[in-house]
Amino acid sequence: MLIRCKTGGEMIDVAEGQDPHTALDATGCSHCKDGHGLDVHCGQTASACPRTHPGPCWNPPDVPGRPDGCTVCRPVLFMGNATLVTEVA
Amino acid sequence: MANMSDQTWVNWLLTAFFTSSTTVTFTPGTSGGSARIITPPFHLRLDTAQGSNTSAATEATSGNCPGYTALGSSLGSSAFAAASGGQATNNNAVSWSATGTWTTIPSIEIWDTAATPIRYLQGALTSSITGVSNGDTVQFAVGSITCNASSW
Repeated sequence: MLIRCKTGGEMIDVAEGQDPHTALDATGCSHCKDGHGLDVHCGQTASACPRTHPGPCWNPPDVPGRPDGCTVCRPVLFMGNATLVTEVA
Repeated sequence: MANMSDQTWVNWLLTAFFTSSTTVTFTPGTSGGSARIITPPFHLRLDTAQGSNTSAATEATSGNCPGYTALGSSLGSSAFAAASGGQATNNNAVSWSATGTWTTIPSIEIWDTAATPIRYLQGALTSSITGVSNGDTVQFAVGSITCNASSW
């Protein structure tokens, strides 16, 4: 699915269940790389971005059902796709 | 028997069905029953349980998919592009903005907008849409829905 940090930045394609931060390199997220204050989800400064630790973002997991457990990358864009095959009975 | 129909004819039928922006009437001959009227615009409906070729799906609701409205959303004028190779794809994007957590969407259907809407197409999504929550966007991009009639 395509996601975008709610503070801006490029769209990235993240597989379901994958931590979006692991899909970014250290400069791939405009929120974290620009050093513009507190991170919106963990309260850390940008220089202590969660990119510096492994694993999913867990603080605060206010939507625990999210496949990536992360709340910083909002909104998520779900792209539907279908091939409807018509058949002759 | 595969490919029993002339492909040009299949393309014409698909295009006639799904590209008109105005009502289309097909009048069968003797013993063919009453006329069939197609009433655009077509709507894309999201399902919480897939239907079959003989029965409609369980449509999503504003309750289990907040931000979705029953009877779906318009696929626009000329819902599909002109068919080629027995296939046609949607001409316009359709999207919903979720205002809460959604039930999984495994499939879609395409209906017209007659007073009593008629169902035309149904099928599973390539991947179910799951994990949607408040603030997310669910989108079907241009060309993301293919009607494949190449086996007619």
